[in-house]
Amino acid sequence: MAQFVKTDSGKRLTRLITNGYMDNIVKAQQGAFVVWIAIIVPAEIFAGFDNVIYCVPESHSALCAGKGVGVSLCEKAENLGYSMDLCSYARIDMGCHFNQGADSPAGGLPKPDLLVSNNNNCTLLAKWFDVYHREWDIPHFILDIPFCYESQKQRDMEYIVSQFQDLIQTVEKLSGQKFNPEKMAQAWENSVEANKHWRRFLAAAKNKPSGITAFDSFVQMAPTLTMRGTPELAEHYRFLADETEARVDQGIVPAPNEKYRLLWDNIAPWHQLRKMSSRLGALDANIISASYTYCLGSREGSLDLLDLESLSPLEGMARLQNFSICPHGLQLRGRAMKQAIEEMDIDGVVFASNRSCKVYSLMQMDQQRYVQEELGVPTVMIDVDHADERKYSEETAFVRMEALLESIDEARR
Amino acid sequence: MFFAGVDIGSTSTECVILDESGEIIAADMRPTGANSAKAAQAVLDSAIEKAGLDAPPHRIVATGYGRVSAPFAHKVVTEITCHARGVLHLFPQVRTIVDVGGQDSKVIRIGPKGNVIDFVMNDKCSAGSGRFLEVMARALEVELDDLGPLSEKSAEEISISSMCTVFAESEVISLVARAVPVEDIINGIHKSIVNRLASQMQRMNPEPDIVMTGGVAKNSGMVKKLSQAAGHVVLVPENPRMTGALGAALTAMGLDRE
Ligand code: SF4
Repeated sequence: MAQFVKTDSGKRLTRLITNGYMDNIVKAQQGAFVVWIAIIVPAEIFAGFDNVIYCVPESHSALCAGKGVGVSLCEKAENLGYSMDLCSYARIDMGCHFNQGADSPAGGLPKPDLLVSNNNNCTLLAKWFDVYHREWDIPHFILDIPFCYESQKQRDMEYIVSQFQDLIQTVEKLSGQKFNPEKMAQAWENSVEANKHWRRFLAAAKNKPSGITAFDSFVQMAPTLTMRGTPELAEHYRFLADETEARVDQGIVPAPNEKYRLLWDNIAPWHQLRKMSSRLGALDANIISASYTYCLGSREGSLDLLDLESLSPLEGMARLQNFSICPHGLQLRGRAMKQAIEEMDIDGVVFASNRSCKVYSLMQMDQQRYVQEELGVPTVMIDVDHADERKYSEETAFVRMEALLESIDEARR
Repeated sequence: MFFAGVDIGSTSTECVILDESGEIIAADMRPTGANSAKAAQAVLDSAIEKAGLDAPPHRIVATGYGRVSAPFAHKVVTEITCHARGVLHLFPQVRTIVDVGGQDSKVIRIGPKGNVIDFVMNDKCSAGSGRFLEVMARALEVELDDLGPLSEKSAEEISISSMCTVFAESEVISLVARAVPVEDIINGIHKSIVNRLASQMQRMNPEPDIVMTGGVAKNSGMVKKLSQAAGHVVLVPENPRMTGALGAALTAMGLDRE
């Protein structure tokens, strides 16, 4: 049976996130230049300015869903005429911010002066930011990131760096502030450092029984998105990794009687974290790892960290533009999953087909076939929506997941 | 010693009791209704009574959508595993199971050693399920049990193009208004469901023997059409609704050995 003990890093995380959201509100009131960014946009750039802050709508939507207000905010956007088929992150965000931050556990995000998105995950995201561009008449900077069937090419990296330079000039012009490359370089160093500790934390999943659940890593991922480049982030992940390693040494693990080590493919089901992990825990099953949390800073098609230290900050940030799974082709995804299955000794894979994120879900059927037929690892496909609970049925998902556990049992006999 | 399996489905709840030799000594079923825990207890009690037992069975396994609402169960097991066990007991050569229940349909592939190797379920939409047939029977004002025999009298192939239950219902009503014979409409409805089932089945690379279970397997017209689509004779157990409960009872028998 899984144990839920609030760890010190868990308490620390709550403080960190709350302060982060509060800080942004206060700084915005005091006149800071506010940028809203898509998660992949390199936030370290903004650290190069004295008084520029950034907010991450996607992460804020995940927070809303985790705190149980995802559905009411989706409905608010639907009442404004937005289709139920749009990504629930977008609906939550528009439902919240077209209603003055309604229902947000963080009090909403301060209104932006600039929007920065990209097109390497999905087109929807750029369109979603475009809505604010039109409604509020705010400039929208879109990074054009080439799609990724193999490791990033040098010329793509250069192309991305040139856009970062444009972005810096744009912020300088709009905010009236001068850019300081050294401050950005310091922030980049903090991010690289944070990433190393993050990896150390994720590696606890290799322990038997696993030192973590993927649900822990979903939750702990938030500051990577909202506090990138800060020394506090690096410090927090160092603390998290140290604490996790110490717990493993003392034999304190989430599922001591771990019978099934599972891998999760897709974005976290934010509204189900506690419920799903405890119900699986009662069956001695643990989703120990996820393609979603491992992709950060990984070389495309593998779990190994990119060598970022040999690159200049802007090059390093450009190199990371393909980190998320969404823009990866089938082969890259398959390769990374094979490595995860082998390194973490995975018994079964849960493919979560996500009604919102079509780009993540698109190749899952082929991927599932590959894992099942080529790697001989049992899999199951369940239907979820990462933030809109109305599109998830607990019983339906659990019949499948329990059947997966039973088929693992049978294969062991 | 006696063993029971209780299958708490979305539409009906079944119970099977086995004796030590694996012989079925009692079986019973009733509609699940609004309270699945109550239905489960009631069907277990009546099966115990039918079997003439004076104490509850030694081991009980619950399965189906309501499996967690059976406090008397010693273990809960999914209907995927239970259907496979139940059908395998009756048809040891089975490789593919097509189960069409009240609210979902599933195809289960069985490996040579009798283990589940893969399954697909459709439960996002009522098309292709027993509920689809119920709605159509009501629209046509015929009894559910008469659908099979009536469809076999059909003289002309017509097709119902809508997958959606609501759209298909309006399509059927308009066919009735155009005086298309009821038998042909029913035949068309069967064809539409079977097409959907067949594509679900093809995804699993079906191999014979193919066995159909669930309430819809009682419909001879459906079974015939599914056989045509599969290119093999589709077998049907004598009591196609009971295979889940039977599999659960067989699992209960194995519990002490685990
Ligand atoms: S669809 Fe996927 S990639 Fe696009 S905004 Fe939503 S979660 Fe992000």
